[in-house]
Amino acid sequence: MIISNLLRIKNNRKKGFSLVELIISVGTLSVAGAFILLFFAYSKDINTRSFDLDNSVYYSNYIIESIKAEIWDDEPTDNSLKIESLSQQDGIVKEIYFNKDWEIIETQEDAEYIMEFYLDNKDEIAMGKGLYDLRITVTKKNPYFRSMTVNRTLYTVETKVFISTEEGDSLD
Amino acid sequence: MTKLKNRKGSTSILIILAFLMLIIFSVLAISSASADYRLAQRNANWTRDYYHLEGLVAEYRYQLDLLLYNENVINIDQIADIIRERDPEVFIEFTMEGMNLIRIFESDGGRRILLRTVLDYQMESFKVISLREIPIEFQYKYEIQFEDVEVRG
Repeated sequence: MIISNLLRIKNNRKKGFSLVELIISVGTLSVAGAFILLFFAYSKDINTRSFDLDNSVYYSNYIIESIKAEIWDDEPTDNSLKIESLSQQDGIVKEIYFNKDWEIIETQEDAEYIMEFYLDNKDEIAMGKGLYDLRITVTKKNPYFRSMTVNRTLYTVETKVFISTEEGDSLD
Repeated sequence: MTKLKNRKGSTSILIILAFLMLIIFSVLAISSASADYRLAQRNANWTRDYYHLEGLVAEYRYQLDLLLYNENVINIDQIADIIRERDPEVFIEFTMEGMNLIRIFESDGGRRILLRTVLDYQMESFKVISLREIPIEFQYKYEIQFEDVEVRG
């Protein structure tokens, strides 16, 4: 009898959380969680911008050093950059297209990033070499997470290159 | 010592602690991402500045070759005189190899690049011997005070 009384007392003791407590806590956590998810989305956006800027600088350097070394090839191999010749009126304008993972693609429709480089010789040629103005611009087609700007310019670099212009070079 | 027997509000305390943890992690994530972005921007500015300096060097080399191509010069001394007249900042010395020409280019940010070319005595062309960036000098904010060492024994 003593044992049954003790069990009854134990079963009658109130434990656990009330329904109101649970509802309020879940509601508070869901509202706060929405703000916190926004912070994580912001950090991902900033990481994406850093990644894009680093890739822009990397590929721009590749173009500049290739032109300076005069190893530019109009018939690229699988590992080299593919180029699309657009206009040769005032100089040489070429575009290179990248998808969202910074892989080189052929068509502009699927491109997320466009690298345009402009090579122009306005100075007199001396001793078989010419001074070229070289400008590279990298733009992003679609806007970032927190922005509405389309075709945003990520990186621009301007320099001059002093390279050979003898017949046989495949710059033009 | 009294013990807390009332468990009302314990859920709220747990929720607040979880919320604080999430806030701290999100702030750390944003802080780390911002630091990465600043580093990427610094790298981009550094590269842009460096290629601007290289552009100045390329233009200078072009002007030197144009001098050999266009000017009616007889000997290397005339070339040296013309260069000194047009560019007072250049340093010229004559060695066994030919005429050594040393020029330092400076950007707006204070970075400097050194160009060293040589023109042989046959006056065929200027050859680049050295093209390198001169490191920016810096000073320690607090000077290190050295004291005499005591010799024991």
